[in-house]
Amino acid sequence: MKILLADPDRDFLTSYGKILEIDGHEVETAFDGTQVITKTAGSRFDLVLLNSDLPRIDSVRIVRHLNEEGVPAAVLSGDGKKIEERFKEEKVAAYLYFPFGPAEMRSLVREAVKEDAK
Amino acid sequence: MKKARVKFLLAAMLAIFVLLTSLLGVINAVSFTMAAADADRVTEEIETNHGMLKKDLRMSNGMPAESRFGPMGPESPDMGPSLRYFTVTVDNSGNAALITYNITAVSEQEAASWAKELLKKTAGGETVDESLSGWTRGTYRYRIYRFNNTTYVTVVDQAREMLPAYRILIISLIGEGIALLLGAVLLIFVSRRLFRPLEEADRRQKNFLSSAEKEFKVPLTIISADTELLERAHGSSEQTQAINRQIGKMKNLVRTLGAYAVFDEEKETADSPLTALVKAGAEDRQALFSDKNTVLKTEIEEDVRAAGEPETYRRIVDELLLNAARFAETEAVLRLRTENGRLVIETENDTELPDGEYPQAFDRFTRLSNAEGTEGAGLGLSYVRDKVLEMGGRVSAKVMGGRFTVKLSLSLPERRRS
Repeated sequence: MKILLADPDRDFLTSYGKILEIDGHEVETAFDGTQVITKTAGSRFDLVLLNSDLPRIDSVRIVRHLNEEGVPAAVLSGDGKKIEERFKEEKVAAYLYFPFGPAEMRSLVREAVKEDAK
Repeated sequence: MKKARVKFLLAAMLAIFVLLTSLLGVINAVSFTMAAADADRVTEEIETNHGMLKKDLRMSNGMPAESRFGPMGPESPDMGPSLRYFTVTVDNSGNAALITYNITAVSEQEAASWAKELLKKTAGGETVDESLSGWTRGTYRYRIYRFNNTTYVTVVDQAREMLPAYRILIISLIGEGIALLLGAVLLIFVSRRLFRPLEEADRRQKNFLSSAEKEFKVPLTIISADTELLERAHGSSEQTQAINRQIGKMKNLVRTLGAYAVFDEEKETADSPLTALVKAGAEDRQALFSDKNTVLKTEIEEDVRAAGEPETYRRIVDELLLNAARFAETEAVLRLRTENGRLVIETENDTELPDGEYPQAFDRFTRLSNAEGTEGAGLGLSYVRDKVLEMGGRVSAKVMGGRFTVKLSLSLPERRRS
């Protein structure tokens, strides 16, 4: 799968980018909303994993844009289940709450793909 | 903090009310008692003179009334207002005869039937051996006594004499009302100032907990991934295993910090399906026990529901299970039951701790002597205690016969089964 991983923390992008690559995925990274828009305009991704608090462009608008493009989006958040209220108008394939580990990331990718297939 | 302020206001108002009511109650009781004593002095004089006041007796015998300065004329201003009273004799056959009638508010006929009614009510129609006195129809003082085998009933109108006592009572009630109102206003103003620093401190603490929780989350996530990458590159080692254990400990700490950050948030009261929640909790944490080769048994009563947020109960059960998993040597038991109208959730595990009560198990950042080498920062049971107490329940931790039991109990609403 081709995955875009978007998070303002570069260490996170490095570590989980590597984890997903080891799992056999093609991974690109973005650290703000503008980069997500630019990269999804240039390439077709199978899944976008984005932090709920990306700088420059609000993550809700990004998810809406990805929905319009038909690209599945999963949201990573440190705010717990209450973040789902923010995204309730948009189609989000899955949510994952910090702190998590590689195993939970893998479950998220599987769940997001399954949800999108529906 | 808002709840604490409301509780303070209610407690303070109750204290003022009890204090004022007690004080004014005593004052009014004394006032009315003194009025009754004064009335009894009058009726005693009437009893002594067999149904009449001394001055009335003298005047009826053609003699002038007396003051300490000598005889008084009937129109003398020193006579004072005349006492309004009547005396009725009742013979053994129950026949009533009015012997003194000095009252306009009551007719002669009414006086006789009133006397008979009093006699029946107080002495049950029987002969009285000793004088009886009391209040009748509000402000009338009566005395029942015998003389020469005849029962006398004297009723004296004390309305005028009771006025001061009633004035004191009314003024007391109005005064108490005003005092309570002023007290409430003052307390609201004072409590606002008193609690402001506490509310500010509480708000800062919650912000700190919330920030700390958030600040830990991403680094923990990154460290998890990097540890796995290290293990893939160089194999698992004691050090990477230790890192994973510490990550687990920090994750629990972060989760509990997050729970404390939203501790007082007002939520809609929900009805929680406890049986399902507890079963799910046990299932979720089964792996923790099997990883340590310990057995988790459950004794869960069916169809138990309780008022409260499902998330709260889920977290409580989780903390209890985490604690049990940490310290169980070979097995642990999770129980949910109802008992005498109370909901009981408890965990029990084998332990080497000596028998006794262990309330310190619930103190923040306190770990018991058997905790060395285990995960946990000492916040989990503290959260359980704080939450259960907030819900009006009780917690206990004790060891008996090598079994450590953490128990919480909450009162159940009437409907406990679905």
